[in-house]
Amino acid sequence: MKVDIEEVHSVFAWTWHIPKDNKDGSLEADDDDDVCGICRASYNATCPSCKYPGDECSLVVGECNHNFHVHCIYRWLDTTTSKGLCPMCRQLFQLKRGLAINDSQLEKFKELQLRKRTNTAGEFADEDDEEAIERAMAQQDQAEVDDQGDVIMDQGLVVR
Amino acid sequence: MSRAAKEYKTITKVLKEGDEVYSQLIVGMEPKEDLTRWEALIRGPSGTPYEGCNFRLHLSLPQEYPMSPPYVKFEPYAMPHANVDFRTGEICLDILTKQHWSPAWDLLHVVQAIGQLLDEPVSSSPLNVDIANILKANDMNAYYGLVHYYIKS
Repeated sequence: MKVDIEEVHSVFAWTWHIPKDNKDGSLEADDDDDVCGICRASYNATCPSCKYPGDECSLVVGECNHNFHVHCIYRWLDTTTSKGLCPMCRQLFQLKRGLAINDSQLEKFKELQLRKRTNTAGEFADEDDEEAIERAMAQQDQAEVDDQGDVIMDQGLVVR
Repeated sequence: MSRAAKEYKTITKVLKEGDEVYSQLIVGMEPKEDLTRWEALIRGPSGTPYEGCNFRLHLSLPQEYPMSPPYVKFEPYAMPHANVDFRTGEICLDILTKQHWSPAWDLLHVVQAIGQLLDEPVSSSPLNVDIANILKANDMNAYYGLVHYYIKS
């Protein structure tokens, strides 16, 4: 029998290779069907601002084993309110070392971290912080003037 | 697809399938006009003076959402609660502040946290001083009475 092949259609599928070394039960990862904790899109899809999945919109793995689209986590860490913490576990977010998937991003994240550190050292970058400090100072003055002020109430205002 | 659209899908699914945690609390939740404005109707939790009543929440998503928290308010003049401004409906809840918000949370988490706040008012950071003072004095009769009075009027 002779077979003539006229045409070949190749179909490829790909997924990010994410190390799953959390068998020690320390993490409840992956019960959310592998979606980015920030944008809720699948790891293998793009972040909301990208059109095509792949190297341009890659995934990164944190030291804490939480994964995000690189654009999503970068955008979060770039806000003053993030304080550099992982949105999931509130530990300092660091890229996990020795992973091919992270390697190309290491420089970018290091640079961001450095920039954040110098920003917060010099000034109070956050408006809310500034407001809170002003309010606390105003309250201190008030307290000095009026010793009989309701202490509990004042605390309440500071908490807010 | 945007984050809000993803949440819309999840919320519709959760409410339709009757999730154990959320269906206790949420009567309905849907976007108004576009996905940046939402309304939710929540049930007063049992064992609280709010039991038997429903309360409307207005949620609006800032442009930076989920990097910034949603703005959430009760309907004005409808929620007598130690941590809610009765006149405006403004809510004092740590996770709704920029300092404590995390993009890992979503609208369902927020509504759930507000449900929890109804159950456990925090009298140390009041927006309604009258109710907070009654709670501090631990006068449960007056607490129920005052809340009911507000709700009925």
